[in-house]
Amino acid sequence: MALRPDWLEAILPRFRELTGERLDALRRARAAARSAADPREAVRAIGTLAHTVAGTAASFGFDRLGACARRVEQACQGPGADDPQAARAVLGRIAADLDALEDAMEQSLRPAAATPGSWPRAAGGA
Amino acid sequence: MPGVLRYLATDDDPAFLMVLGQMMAALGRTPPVTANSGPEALALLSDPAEQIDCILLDFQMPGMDGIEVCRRIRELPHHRDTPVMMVTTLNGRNHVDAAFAAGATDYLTKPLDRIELEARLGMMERLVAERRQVRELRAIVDQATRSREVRFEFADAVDLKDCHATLDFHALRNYPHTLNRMSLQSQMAVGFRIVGAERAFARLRPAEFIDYLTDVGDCIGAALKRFHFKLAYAGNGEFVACLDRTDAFDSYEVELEIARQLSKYEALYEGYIVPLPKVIVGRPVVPRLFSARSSDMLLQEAIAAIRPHVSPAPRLNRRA
Repeated sequence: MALRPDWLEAILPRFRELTGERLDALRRARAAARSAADPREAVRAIGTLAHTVAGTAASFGFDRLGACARRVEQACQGPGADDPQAARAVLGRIAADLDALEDAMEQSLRPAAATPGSWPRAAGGA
Repeated sequence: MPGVLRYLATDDDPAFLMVLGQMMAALGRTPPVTANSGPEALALLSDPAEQIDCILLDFQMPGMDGIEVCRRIRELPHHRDTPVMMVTTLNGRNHVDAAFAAGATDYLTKPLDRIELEARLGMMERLVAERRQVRELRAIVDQATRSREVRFEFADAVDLKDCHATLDFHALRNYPHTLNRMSLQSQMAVGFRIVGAERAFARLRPAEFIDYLTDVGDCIGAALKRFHFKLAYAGNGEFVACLDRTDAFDSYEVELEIARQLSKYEALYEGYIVPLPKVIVGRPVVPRLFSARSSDMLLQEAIAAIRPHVSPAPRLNRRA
């Protein structure tokens, strides 16, 4: 596993803390989507969460997490998600991606977790 | 310059702002000032004292999105040309056109890549440097234009702001009005004419002609230093002075003294497009007792006394 620069190691705990909060929020949004008659709001919330995670995961060396988040973000922002039925269909299509995203988020919370070989593409030297 | 520029980064994700700040520091830049939302960024940017040089702006933020923030930034007069770099995920690149339409300068993709970030920051910094240079050059050009493109006629009594010896002619005209009848009687007026001034006016640019007049004004002032006087340029290559009335004033001697003072500029005028100025000094004009003529007339008569069509007046006060 490649090493992160010291400065990135210093802010990794805060990233993990935020990821933990986002994982909880993702689970809440999925639960809301399952129970709601109109899942559009839940889809938008999931899309926003995925967008946020996609923006920084790779910078910390979590390439798989970043890739999962990008797929979910793309699906939630795609055309047709504004219609309740289409939003339901989107949730169905990305169920596996959402599972993968949750899994990647959980992995990133574990100490010393990072995708082998992902470093130092995103950040480089100290 | 890179290290001293002040960046503002706006993103609702604190993790992104942390990574950006750390990565910029690792690249030798000052970490950015941060805002977590568009309104927060706009509140900061609307204060010109904050002196933000470059702005990094996330596209997708809750509430006000980056494109709207960018549009509003461009409405701030002091940020019309501040570089704005939109920050987007790979999925958001289809919004780039809208961002450019709103006034964005460039865009950067998330997640951050050190090489890309360095290149983009370098581009922003070059832009800031170029715009500063343009502003500085424009200021210099404006200043030069203001000073060099002053337009006036030969007859105009231009104010010689750089001349230490002269007042504005209008101020001199007002001066006798401030005196009572008795005090006015204690005054006299003297005219001074530059020989060939009209030719000099025709050959020199306006600002050069003002410099030329300033040289002459300073020399007349130096020649009059033993008198209590007020001097002004009256237009037409002529100066006029109000002096405390005295028999000690000798036009001929003053003329020689002015010539001596002007000779100090000989080297400057050597080979110049106009010759070293020569000044003729008129006879002193005094108010006549019980005369109703105005103080303005006194100055006018002093000027008239040195005009070529006027026969040389006897040098009344020349000492034996």
